[in-house]
Amino acid sequence: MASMRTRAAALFCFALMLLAGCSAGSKSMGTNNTPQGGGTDAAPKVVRVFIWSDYHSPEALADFEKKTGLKVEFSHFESNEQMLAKLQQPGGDGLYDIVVPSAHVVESLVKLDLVQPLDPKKLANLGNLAPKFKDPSYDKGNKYTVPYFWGSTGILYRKDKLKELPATWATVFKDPPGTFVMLDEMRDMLGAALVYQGESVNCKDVEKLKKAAELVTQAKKHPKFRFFAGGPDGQKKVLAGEVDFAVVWNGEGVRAMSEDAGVDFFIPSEGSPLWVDNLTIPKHAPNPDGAHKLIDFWLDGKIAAQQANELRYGSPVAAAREYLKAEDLNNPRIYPAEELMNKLQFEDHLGDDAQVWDELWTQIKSR
Amino acid sequence: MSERELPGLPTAALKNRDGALGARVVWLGELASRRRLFARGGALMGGGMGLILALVALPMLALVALAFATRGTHGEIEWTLTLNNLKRLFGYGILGWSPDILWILSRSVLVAAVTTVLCVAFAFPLAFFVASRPPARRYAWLALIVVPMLTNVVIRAYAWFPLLGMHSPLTKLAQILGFLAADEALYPSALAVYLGQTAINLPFAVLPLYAAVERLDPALIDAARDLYASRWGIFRHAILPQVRAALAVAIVLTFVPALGAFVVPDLLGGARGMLLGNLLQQQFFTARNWPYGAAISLMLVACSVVALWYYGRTQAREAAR
Repeated sequence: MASMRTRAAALFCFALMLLAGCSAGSKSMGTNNTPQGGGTDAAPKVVRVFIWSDYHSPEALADFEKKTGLKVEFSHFESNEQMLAKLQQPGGDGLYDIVVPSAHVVESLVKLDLVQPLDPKKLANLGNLAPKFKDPSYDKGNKYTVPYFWGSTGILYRKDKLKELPATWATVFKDPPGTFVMLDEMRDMLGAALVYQGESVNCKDVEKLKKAAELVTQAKKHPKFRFFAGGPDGQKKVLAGEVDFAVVWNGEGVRAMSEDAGVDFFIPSEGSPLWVDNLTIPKHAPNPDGAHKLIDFWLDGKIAAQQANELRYGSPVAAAREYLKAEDLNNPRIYPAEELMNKLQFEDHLGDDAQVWDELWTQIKSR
Repeated sequence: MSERELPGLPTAALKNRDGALGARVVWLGELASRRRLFARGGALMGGGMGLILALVALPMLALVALAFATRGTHGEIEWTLTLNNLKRLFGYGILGWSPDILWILSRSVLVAAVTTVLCVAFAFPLAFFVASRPPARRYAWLALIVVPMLTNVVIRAYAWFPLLGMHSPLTKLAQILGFLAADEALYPSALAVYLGQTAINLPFAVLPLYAAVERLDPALIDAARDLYASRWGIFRHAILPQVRAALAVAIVLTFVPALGAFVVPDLLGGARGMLLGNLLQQQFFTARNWPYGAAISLMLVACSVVALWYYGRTQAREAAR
């Protein structure tokens, strides 16, 4: 009897160890993000960049390293929140020289005192920015940030199955013409519902927000709705023909179109949330000089165009236009016509209202 | 602790005149003083107790404290004490009362309970199967059951996509038989969630059950059969009492992790029905509301404690037999 007890106990422990092992293995964050490399005085000097993955042109960068003798090291994050958490940990604002936050977390970075003001004297190419991206609402006067790339949210659909669709958010919120997927992102989906109702994507009015949440809930309860998909999953499901349309970011949409002639993408005519990723320098960056050099390099018209042609996102650098591929420059899915462009709204920091949004998003997901 | 508790030892004869703690006792054949025994025991247990204190008790205390803190405008933690986070657990949210959190809780308990029932139901035959193999091959079979756990949960969830997706033969079959409309697939669905959850948690039910089934006394089963017990009767009266303790372990080991699950329900269920695990993740990551996240964690811990209490009760009953 005693041996059975010990045996059962041993198996129990074994199972617990496995349990610990696999729960630790799932969804780990922040691993391999810590930069290698030595101190700041190590030669050659390094610029450490904390950025989304696949988000720069390696060829362009080779030029920079040759010209300046600086070496650039990249670490990657998968969400703004993950990046914020990394910077907030003790000493976290001294790990990198450049970080790439989206617009709606810029204000948090500034208020939490995690970034330093840019030195305009070291950024000769600052004037290259397009008017819409100079002096943005989330960072007046580009004091702390310069925009890197921008994009929007729209609908990717199977043209071969649904025929031509009118460019409207009613596709999702009123009369879905086929099976569909929504983005698993609070800002994008509630933002889209707000825009559809003619409200701001940064709405703070509880009643209007409730109405928007109701719209998303109705769409979720529609028999044609299939699921919420994170990041690029919606695009994949449309390409695989598993659903008829999906709410996706425009970069995903444009890339899907170059892969499959049977799909089309539009940014709805009502407008859409507009996201901007920005370059900024952490408070205690080891090499702020090198950071300014790299930021200025990326703001150069030719370089910005080289990067945009590769990544196929919208470049906020006006001076890049003459070097952009004509097919991309004339693609309204990347660079919408002025009328629509004016309806794209910057996603701002929500402040204390973030909790209201969060509560509504929880309701949407649980009903 | 009175001396009578030391099992079967002639302590009275060895007792010193001065005080109980200095008394000499025989402990497992060794003549020692009680003081020395306590010192040695304390030294041996110190490391383990220290670890538990550092890795379990202190974080738990931090969690309790955090649950009363406030989220700052930028997701920082402010030590303005409040009961709001705990109120939110009962549905009194920022926008007034709403039943959503209660739905989320009951949905989580339901998913965990169904997962546990399915796991145990599949684990019993598996345990009997493995135990009936020749001893040399049993560990190979056990390894087969355990090996999938070396793969990340996310990857194992993704593995179900082609099996249950729009273009899979299973989906086509279900469509032909009329269970699904032409534009529906087996995934995302509740079925897919339970399949995935069961597959992932099954080993935790099989291992303890196997340990018990392997040691079953077959004479009792023979006796039950000789007395014309029905098949159910044999299971109920000859097998179940012998494996009850292991069954409790199996239930706890599947139920507790299933309660906090969020990866599989999200991927295979299409992120449509929020569970406690999802809400928790949302608070710590997207919403950056650690105090509310801590409150939700406490709720999860409370649920797990209930499960462990049940386990403790069955163990105590078993011991009393």
